[in-house]
Amino acid sequence: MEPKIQSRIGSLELNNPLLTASGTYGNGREYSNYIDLHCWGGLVTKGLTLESRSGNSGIRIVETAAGILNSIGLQNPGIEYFIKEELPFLEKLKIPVIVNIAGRRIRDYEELARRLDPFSTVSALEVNVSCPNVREGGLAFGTNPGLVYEITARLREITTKPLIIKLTPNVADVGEIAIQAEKAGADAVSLINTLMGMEIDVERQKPMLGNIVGGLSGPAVKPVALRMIYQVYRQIKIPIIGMGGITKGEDAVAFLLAGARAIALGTVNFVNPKAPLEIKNYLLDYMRRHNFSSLEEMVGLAHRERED
Amino acid sequence: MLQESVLIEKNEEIAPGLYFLKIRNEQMAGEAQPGKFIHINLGTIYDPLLRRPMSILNAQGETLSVLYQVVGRGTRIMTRFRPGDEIDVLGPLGNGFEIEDSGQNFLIGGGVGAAPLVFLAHRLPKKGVDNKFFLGMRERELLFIKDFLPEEVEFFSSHENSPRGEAKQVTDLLPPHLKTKKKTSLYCCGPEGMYREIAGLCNDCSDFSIQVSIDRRMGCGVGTCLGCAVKVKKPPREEPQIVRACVEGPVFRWQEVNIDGT
Repeated sequence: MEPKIQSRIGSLELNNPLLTASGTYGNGREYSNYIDLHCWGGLVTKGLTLESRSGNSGIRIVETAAGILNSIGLQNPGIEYFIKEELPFLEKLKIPVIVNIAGRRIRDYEELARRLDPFSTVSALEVNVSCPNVREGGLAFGTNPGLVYEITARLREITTKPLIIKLTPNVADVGEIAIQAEKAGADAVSLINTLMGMEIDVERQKPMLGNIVGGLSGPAVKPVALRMIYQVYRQIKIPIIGMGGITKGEDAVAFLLAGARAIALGTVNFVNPKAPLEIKNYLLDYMRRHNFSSLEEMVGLAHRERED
Repeated sequence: MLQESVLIEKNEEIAPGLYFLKIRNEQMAGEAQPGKFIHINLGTIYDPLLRRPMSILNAQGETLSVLYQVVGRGTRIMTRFRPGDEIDVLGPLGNGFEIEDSGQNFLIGGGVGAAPLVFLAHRLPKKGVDNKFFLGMRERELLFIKDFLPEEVEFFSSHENSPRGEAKQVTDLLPPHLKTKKKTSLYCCGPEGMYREIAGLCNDCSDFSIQVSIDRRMGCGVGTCLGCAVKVKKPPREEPQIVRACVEGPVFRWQEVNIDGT
């Protein structure tokens, strides 16, 4: 019998556990030339703000050892354009769409949630409190457990859509932040956003990125992400969407075993647009080999030994 | 646009540190246009991580070629590709040059970045048109490019170590050719400083259009990562906007990218 790879995040049902990581897939349009977007369990859109943002100036992307540093700066056309021009395209896809929202103030997030709430195409909201690349951006919220509680609680009052809080790894205790999100009524947490880093051009004796610092992603960060998911899994009951450097089937399985109920692919899309197909095939094959009939049996399994 | 495993036909060092790579894929070759690029997966399984964008040097029948200079880890790895190997290629990507109906076409290249102009030289109309290729080099390392050009294209070159009185920069070659009343199209590939100088030389000329290929660090190559931002001003919009070199470019009108008007 074919193993069941359906997954569930709150009330959101996914055909498979693979999501796009926000900011690495636009709103799906570009990759629809290369791949059938229905291979995804859901699409997570590029971070959306109330007003349009032109992003950071200077060099925005630098390759590092097994990874990249980026400082795009939440470039996006703003919510009005998104609703008018992007939602109709997403609606036609008939796959779950998770809209990633970001703001400077709590009321920006509230306004975004309020305006997106009426649209049935928007299956869930991912709340970006972890972008490392904008000065007054979400990171100021995401590193403060009290503010994460507050923002989640306020959004909970505005929308019944599943609320996913995207957490930053750039904190001493990610578990404490996840606990606050759960307490305030989040349906899930997603982690990790990028790790803050920088690179210096030694010949020019200057930082490489126009924004000086940026977010590190790619295979280099995978062990860090995996550890955080493993850790947070023991501290909360709500589902975890795991991400950070997944490039192949083994990585995806490891994230599920660590406790993720869904997984997002990000940087790998830039290198291999066929990655979701390859990873899905690996997952099915893996489940057959190990006699798992559903994803549920795998989630968090790596914690077993400690419990014994 | 495709993501395909393609066969390598040739990967040869044709001048010190400069390689000629030829791949076989009928559809990719068919869709290739001057100014577009292909995005090559190094096959390193994620270190170095990103694909390498390469301008198309030429495309004929079922094959497509690029010219690359060994400058870092990625291009050094590419030198190890062997004929018969298969590599994962995405493309052709980007917009390409718009071939205009002009009395003469000037193709102006600085360094190895001039490669797409070779392809363009093959696609320009031949009858009743003057096509001229101007190439700036450090030494004489790129002279072989002349052999890639169609016969009817006039070739001029400059080198930084030229004796006194001879052209050192590619822009030194241009002034005598600019004294013309013919409608002239300039197609340029090189550093942005070169574009600025060329535009300066054309300031007093009447009927000139300038297209330039803009070089940016690229991530995905298909328009999602927003890494390769270019600030442009496109009338009728008065405000500058940010576009992507990989989708809306890499070729732009000079007046669109020269937004501060210098």
